Amino acid sequence: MKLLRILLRIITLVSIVGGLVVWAAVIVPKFGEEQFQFNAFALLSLTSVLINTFLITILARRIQSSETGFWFLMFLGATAFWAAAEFLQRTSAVPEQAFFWQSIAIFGWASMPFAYLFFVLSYTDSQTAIRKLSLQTGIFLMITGLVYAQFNTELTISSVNNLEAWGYDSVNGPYLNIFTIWLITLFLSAIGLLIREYRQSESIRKRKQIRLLIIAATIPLIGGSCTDLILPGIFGQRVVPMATFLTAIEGLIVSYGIFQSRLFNINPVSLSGEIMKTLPQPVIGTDENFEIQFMNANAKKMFKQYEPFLGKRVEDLLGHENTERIGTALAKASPEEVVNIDRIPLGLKEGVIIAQVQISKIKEGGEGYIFGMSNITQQVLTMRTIEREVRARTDLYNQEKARLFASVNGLRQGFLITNSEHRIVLMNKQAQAMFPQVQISNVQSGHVVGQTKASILEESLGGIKIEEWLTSVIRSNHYAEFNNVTVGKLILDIDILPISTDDGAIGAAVLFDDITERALTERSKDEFFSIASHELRTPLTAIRGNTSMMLNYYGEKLDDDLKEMVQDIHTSSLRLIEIVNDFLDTSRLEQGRMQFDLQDLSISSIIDKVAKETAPVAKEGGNIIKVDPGIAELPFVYADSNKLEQVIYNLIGNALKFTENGKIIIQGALLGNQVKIRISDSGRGISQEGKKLLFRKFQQTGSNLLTRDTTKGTGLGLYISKLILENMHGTIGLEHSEPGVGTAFFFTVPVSEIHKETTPK
Amino acid sequence: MAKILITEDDPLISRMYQKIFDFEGYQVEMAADGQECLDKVRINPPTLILLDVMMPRMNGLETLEKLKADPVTKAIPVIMLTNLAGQQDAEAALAKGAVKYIIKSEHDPKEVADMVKEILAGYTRNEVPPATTPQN
Repeated sequence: MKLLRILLRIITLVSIVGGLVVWAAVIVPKFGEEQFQFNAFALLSLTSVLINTFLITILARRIQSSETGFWFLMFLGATAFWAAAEFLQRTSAVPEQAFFWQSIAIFGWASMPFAYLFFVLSYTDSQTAIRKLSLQTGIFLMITGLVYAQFNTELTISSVNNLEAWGYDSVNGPYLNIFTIWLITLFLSAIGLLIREYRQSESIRKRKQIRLLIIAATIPLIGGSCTDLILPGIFGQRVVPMATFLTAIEGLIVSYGIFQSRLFNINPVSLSGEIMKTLPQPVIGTDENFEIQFMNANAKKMFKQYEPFLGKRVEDLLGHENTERIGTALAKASPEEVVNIDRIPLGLKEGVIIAQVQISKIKEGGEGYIFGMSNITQQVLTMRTIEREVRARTDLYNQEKARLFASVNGLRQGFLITNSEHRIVLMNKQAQAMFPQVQISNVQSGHVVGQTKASILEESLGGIKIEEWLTSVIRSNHYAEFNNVTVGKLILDIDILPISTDDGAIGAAVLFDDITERALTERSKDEFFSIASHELRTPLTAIRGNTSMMLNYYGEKLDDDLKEMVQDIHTSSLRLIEIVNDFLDTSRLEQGRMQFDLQDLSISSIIDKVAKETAPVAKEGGNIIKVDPGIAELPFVYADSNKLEQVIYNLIGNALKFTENGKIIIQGALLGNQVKIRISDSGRGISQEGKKLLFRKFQQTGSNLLTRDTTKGTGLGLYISKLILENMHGTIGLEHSEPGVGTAFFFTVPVSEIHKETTPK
Repeated sequence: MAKILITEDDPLISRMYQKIFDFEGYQVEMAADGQECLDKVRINPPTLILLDVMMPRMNGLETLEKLKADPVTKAIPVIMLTNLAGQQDAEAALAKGAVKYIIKSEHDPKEVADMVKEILAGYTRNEVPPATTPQN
């Protein structure tokens, strides 16, 4: 096919050049023969010649050896040739000469549509059409040669010519013959191609060009056909023959187009216009100065606010800064590279969007760029939101971690966390100090190296099966505690707590409370009291015993005063012993170190015993102790015998202390599941203020420390009794007291289980 | 005439008890610690032993154990004397075979003598109760 194209080129070229040569060789000498005369119509032809020649000379430089350009020049040349021949035809004085020139003119007239058609074919890149046409052209040329020669000669000779009036045009000349129709068809085909291209093209500029070309082509086609063919041939009207002139006008218009919009740079985008059209992305094609040549539908939609686009530059759409950025990137990149610009902000009508632009360079058929854009606003925003979220959550997580760890490290206790596999994952520094066998990578973060299993602690903990306990705690979601565990030199209270979530426990937290000091202190306190009381009692026993024996065995030998003195020493020793006992009892009760040996026992026997023991003291005060016989009927109680005795002793003793020549009555009753004993006296009673201070430590302490009746004991008796009864799950209280009348105290103890059913209510 | 062996390390207290049992007409023997007690018991068995709990070298409970382990001495009634507050010691002593457990400061010496008299009177009638825990 290439060969055929070349052939066509050659034929067309030869025709034109050949014509010029003939013209030069044949006509010029003939000019001397003065066979020419002036004709007004010839001027039109002459103008056409001049215009076309002028155009050719100017455009030849600009066309830049593009194929389209070449064909356009051919078109101009054919027109010039045709016009020149016509000029000579119309200025001929002799008919034969006129016919001769007319024949020459027809060459130009015939090749002009071809040139134009090829121009359009090249312009619209209609490759396949060219192939077809090339074949058709070959056939046509053959026919032309045959028909033309035949027709023209015959008609010229046979028809009547009004040569003089119309410049030697034949009336029935070869106007509407097949030849003419064929040529017009070519022209129409060219226009048809242009129209098709117009419809298909996305390029704004190209469309404008095509519009220009079509208008330019229709002028001579319609105008020329009318004046030169239709009117004279069909209607027999002879008008001014304008064909050459109008064709020249077409040439002018197209040339104008060339100057204005550089028609003959092969539009790079037109080659791949089809591809661009189908892209969903907005695509813009530009020349090397970023002047917009082409925009696909989506690009037009995107930048709708900047319409119309023809003549605009990329800068107008993307903004100065962005374009500069793109320019810089392109300058840095190699020509083969596709430059990618991330995150270009574009100010569009609907707001600022963020776009991604990719630019590739075109080298073939002229330089230019293709800009592909994507609106990535949504992705960017989403990503930014996600990034922000992640960052915030990470910060929060880190803060929480830091907070947790600061708190954990700030604990007094040793603290560690195990996971569901009983591996130690976190340890604070106190725990580290207690268990140096566990390695921590970083004291600040408490991160345990290698996630040691908790069993590593078992040895230190004296065999406590810590992992079994962890399993139990996690499974039951309930805590466990171990008190007074010796770990090396320390004594610890250990608490294991489950770490609970909605799905159950996922691990455990273990707290190690160092109670060494406290335990030792308590032990030493206890020892102190034991030893102190023992040490105090020994000399007191000696004082008591010796004075007692002095009175018993040497009483008569002592005179009254001496006897009284010895008596007082003895009494003092008794008081001291009581004080020591009270203090010891109080401390042991308060520390919970008093042992209670709870048994089922008969309260009446204890009451009887105490009543008997205190009878001498009662006698001294002139008092009588009466035990109600009903007490013997009471059920067994569940209590500590000695302690109960102590309470009863205290109450009876108090009654005796504050009564003179009176009666102490002891009664008992069953109250639900408790046995109640009441001890009442007819003594001096307790004042309102005194009542408030009962059962308190040092109950005699009033508003003034100095206002004490020290003969009445330490004031701890009731306090001790209260603590004792509390330990035995009983109660004690003042039932009533009236100054000058008497007082009644009561206490209750729980009934023994074994007798609950058998006791009559 | 009943013989009392008083085992007490504190001379204040031992002198005091020596006097009371003297005044009450008993034959009194003294021991200052557990070992002396055991030696004197074997040489000259007493009718009753008063045994202090807190003593150096061998304390009262250890001495009691030894007394009750020896078939020669195990029949002799032993009264433990103490000024300690603990109840556990009392139980331990009684479980080891002591007849009574007396807190010294709580009683005038005459009362102690009376208690001894009661116990001796009781034992002349009955057998000395054996230790409630087996001694081997």
